[in-house]
Amino acid sequence: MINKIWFVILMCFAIIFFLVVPQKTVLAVDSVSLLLVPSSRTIRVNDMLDVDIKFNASRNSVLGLSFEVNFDKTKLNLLEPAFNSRSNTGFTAFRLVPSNTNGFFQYFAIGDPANVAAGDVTLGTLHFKAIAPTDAGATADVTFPVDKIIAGSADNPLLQIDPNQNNLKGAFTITSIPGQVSTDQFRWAFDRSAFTDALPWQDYTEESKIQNIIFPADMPAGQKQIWVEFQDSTGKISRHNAPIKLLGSEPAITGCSLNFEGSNVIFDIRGTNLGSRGTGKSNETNLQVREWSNTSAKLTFPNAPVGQSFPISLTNGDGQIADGLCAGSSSVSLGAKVFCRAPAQHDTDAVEMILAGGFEGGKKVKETVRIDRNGAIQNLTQKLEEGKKYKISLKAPKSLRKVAEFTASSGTTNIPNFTLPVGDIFPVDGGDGKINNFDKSELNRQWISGQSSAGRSGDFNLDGRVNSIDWACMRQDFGKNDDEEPAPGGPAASPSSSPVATSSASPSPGT
Amino acid sequence: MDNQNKTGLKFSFKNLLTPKIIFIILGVIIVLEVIYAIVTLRSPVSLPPESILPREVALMLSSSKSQYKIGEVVPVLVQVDTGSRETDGVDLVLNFDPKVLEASQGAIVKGAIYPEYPQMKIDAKIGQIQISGISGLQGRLFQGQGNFATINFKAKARGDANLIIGFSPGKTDDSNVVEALSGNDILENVSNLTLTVQ
Repeated sequence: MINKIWFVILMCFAIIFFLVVPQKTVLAVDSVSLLLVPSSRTIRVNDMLDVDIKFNASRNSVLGLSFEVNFDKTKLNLLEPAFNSRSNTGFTAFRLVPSNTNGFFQYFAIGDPANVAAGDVTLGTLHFKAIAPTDAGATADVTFPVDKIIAGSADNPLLQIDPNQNNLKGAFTITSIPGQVSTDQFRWAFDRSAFTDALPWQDYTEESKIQNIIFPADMPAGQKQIWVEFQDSTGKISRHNAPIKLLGSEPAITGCSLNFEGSNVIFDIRGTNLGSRGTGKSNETNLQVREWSNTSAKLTFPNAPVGQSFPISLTNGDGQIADGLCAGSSSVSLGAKVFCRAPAQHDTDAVEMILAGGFEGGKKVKETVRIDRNGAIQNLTQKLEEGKKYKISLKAPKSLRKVAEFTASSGTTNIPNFTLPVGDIFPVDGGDGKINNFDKSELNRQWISGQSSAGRSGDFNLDGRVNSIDWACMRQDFGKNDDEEPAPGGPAASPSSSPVATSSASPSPGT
Repeated sequence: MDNQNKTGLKFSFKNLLTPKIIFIILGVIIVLEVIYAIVTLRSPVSLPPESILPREVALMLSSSKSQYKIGEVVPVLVQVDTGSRETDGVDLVLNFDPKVLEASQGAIVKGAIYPEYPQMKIDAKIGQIQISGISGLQGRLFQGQGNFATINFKAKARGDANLIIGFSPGKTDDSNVVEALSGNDILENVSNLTLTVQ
């Protein structure tokens, strides 16, 4: 009987123990951890040593954190900038104090309770340089003094450091003897045959080394290679290469005619650098490609709406985009981004236009026109002769005068990449043909970002505010002046960086 | 013979059920469970994986604590994260409850990420703060994460205070982060803040 009772008691105890104890439970902890990574390493004198500082909040909503890192100032030098803080850590460091004189680094940060990161979070990296070798058997230490670590949450203003953690200290050995092979020099070339004795080596001073490579302006577009040779500290040379596609000049739409085929509209587009293949859209509608060449494209808009002009966007095989306009009547279009590099939401009235025939016997006419939101010039009474060159000058309210040259084509003549410099708002009665400090002061005076700007001249994009968007618009052309009025006849009189609606666009290889 | 065997087996089994044997078996079970428990509890708790998302361009509000007493200064930090994009400026339109919090002139401490702050305006009546920081004539663009401004409110009356950044994606008449390359508003996300005044 006694045996049975003991048996039952022990079985109950075992069952209870089995049910309760081994469940893997997420425990609320009032301790946090700070870690140094790496915590040990062997390096040479003059080597760089990057040590990550990691923090684990252990599910506490830490609102404030400060700590000190002590280091052996006789062996390690904290470089400037001492600390590269990382974003998205949940902490905003508001005070960082490095001191090579005293051998410490202090960190103070505010935690963001709404952005508590889980697990080990890298707060940042300390960049040291090894300045002297350590003695035999000794190390250059980097430590967190526990009494200098302060972390607090809303529930517990004094969270403890996890007593189990063992990497509050980093111990680094610095050798004076080269202990490892390092990359000492490099050189690069577009062609591997250029790796001769005449090609100089450059010092490889940092890991990773960033080298700006500029392709020659006359290098034809297409698939290219960049070759690099590295020489290590033993003199061994290794060669590597990377492919890169060099894009050609930006495509442009220079002219467009449209025809009707039943309910379909056929766009006959002239352009430059369109490539051998591509796609087209009008607003959100994909167009059907009938023909495509480097200088022309024929596309169909099935069941197109009638009685309107069509914004056209062509994308060539390299992903480069050309925007333009196709209208039923003969017209000139500047593209949709005439003002402030953004698609316009409004028509612009009272634009002073001068059109000068850039050919023998060409005349100069002045008109006041409207630029609609698609960039088409409305109210243009002057007829253009197909194939003839013209110079056009436009000056809108608050903008500078800008001159461009183009060759008239049948249908809609497109002048690609035309933007009017906007920001001439001082003197307030019409500007002075310059965008300068006076205009900036006037913009600041008018600044209003939270309430209606009530027609202030600094509201360039007409969104009812004078704010950073308008400043970005003005800054783009800050310091510029009015272009000279164009004169008729002969070669053009050097307009300022004017876009040219011909096939002779200057090459601009991208990367 | 069979009967003898059956009797023998029955006898053997009975012999095994002595308290000593039972205690030993149970003791071994308990020891194994204790070892299992120690191993389980000492192993690291698996935390939910951190989301790996591209960094959004964002404006974020934070404060050093979530509850304040009447009369206390309520510091609200405004941070901007532009990801890897260079920016020309930031417009912040921040709405707050003027019954719970108050902000006097001088409550705004500008950050250092932009050289020029053309607007630091407080409308205490409607509870709105407008701050703009821009690259300025030196063209000092900002890229990355930084402190845009700090606003030192004062806890005025009991209640919950919602601090809400005026923001609609793509609209330029509210809070903006303006990309230098395009001049467009690239602000994608905002992080608002709720505080309690006790």
